[in-house]
Amino acid sequence: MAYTAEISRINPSAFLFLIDQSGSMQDVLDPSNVQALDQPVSVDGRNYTHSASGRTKAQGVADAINRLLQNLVIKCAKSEGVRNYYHVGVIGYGGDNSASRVSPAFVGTLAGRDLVPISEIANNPARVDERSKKVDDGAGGLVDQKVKFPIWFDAVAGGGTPMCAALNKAQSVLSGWVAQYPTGFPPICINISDGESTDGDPTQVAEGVKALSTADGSVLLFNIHLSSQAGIPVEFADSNAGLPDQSAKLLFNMSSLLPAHMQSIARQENIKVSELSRGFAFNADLVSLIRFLDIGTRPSNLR
Amino acid sequence: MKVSIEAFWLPKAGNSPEEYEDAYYPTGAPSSDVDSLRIAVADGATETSFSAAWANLLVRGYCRHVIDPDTLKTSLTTRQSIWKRHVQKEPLPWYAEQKIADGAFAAIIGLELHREKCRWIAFAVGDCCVFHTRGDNILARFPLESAEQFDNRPALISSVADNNNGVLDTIKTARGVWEPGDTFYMMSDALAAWFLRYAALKDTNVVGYLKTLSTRAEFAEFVSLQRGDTTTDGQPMMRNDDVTLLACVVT
Repeated sequence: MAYTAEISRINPSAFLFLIDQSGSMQDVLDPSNVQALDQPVSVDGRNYTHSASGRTKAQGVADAINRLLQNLVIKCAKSEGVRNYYHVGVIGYGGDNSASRVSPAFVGTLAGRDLVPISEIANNPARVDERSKKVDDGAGGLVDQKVKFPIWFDAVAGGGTPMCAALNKAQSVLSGWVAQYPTGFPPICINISDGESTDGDPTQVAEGVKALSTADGSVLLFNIHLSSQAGIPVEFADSNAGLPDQSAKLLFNMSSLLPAHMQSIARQENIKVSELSRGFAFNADLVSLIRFLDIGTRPSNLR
Repeated sequence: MKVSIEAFWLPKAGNSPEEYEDAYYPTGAPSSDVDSLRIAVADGATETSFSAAWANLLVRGYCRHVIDPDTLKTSLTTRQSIWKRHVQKEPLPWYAEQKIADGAFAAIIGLELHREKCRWIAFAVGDCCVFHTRGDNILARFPLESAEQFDNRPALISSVADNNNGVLDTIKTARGVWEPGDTFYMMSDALAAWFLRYAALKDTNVVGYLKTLSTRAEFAEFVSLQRGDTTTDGQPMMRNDDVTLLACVVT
């Protein structure tokens, strides 16, 4: 049965995130305080007619990935230190069409590295911010509590969406990985984007990523499409019939089927899934992005 | 009343003995006659840090009557302070601090044997089990009675008090009467699930099987064999996890 290999220090697994860093990622998610500009402003070839307050998509994704890295570290932390159950990489893609930029997105000590053992990630955040979160004060109220928020990855946005180049990079990184760990739990590659590929149809390259495999199954490729418009997110769809356009269908078709253990996690979270559900989200907001990442990176069998 | 206790344990395959996170107590058999005796096995949750220390505090606390099942929540307080002092001995990296704030978790089975009226009382939180046997017969299975009842979400006692709000509702107790020569087998979950799975197979004698294990080498060989064996639907007969077995013979 595929996707059942035990994840251990001898047989670790890998997560590779592909993050769209194109110009449109600077759009504000859930905008508030929207005001018309006196005259349109052009940034990166996009015309803006209004200003708005709120986090940009790029900031939302950076927060979500930093939070996810933090959670993965904590999952792997034991009394004696952090066990290398995972190697994790974050690849950013953006830049101009003439000079597309596809490169590792870690900042600080880990800059330039693609897949990094989780213990090194744990011990080398670029910085540790302090943020406050609301906690129960034990008397029916809420108080602010300072929490440490390690940062490995900053928000970047500019240029096009060279998705083919990003998937090519993923294939080259992951082919080395599966050769090194041929019996392990297959790597999971999660592509987060808000738009269409600007360097061609990514279908073939995506097939190349999914064609990589270990004895426990093929590499899983999941796709999350972020929306700047309010709309109902489509999560883990099992058919492309209800999808609004060709670009959504293309991402759906590129996405791997959800393995059985992720289907059951999704069901526990009251998300409707079937055996044909794919690792695909369309029109996702930040809530569904975080939920998707949680389900898509939950270990099945951690030793 | 005399009780002889034979203990066997192994870490998960692939882990070192230092990484074993079950605990049991007492670690040596009582030498003389006793009026009553408490015995316990606990299983520290893999996903939490310092859970071996917590499991050890729980079994020792129960066996020394510091932890009382009837007043579990309040009697845990001193154990929780000891755990906190133990884990905060040195400056810790950000992830260890957070892990400690989340707390350690463990399941426990406790057994109390009395000379008076040959009574026994067991208490459990989670999926560690005790099986009362006479000859090759299983007289009682507690708290779980079949392999299908095991899942990935057992009730667990936490080293952080706030996490234990629902735990009082999950305490289970059982009682019965022993006869001289009876054996109580106490186990952590992977072995207990195997025991019930094997007992349900046709023409098997699971108690007889356990009786053949008298050395550490025999126990290690048995565990390795069962971890490698599969059920008819392709699942391992014994999940790869820390295993603990106490064979307690009362006379």
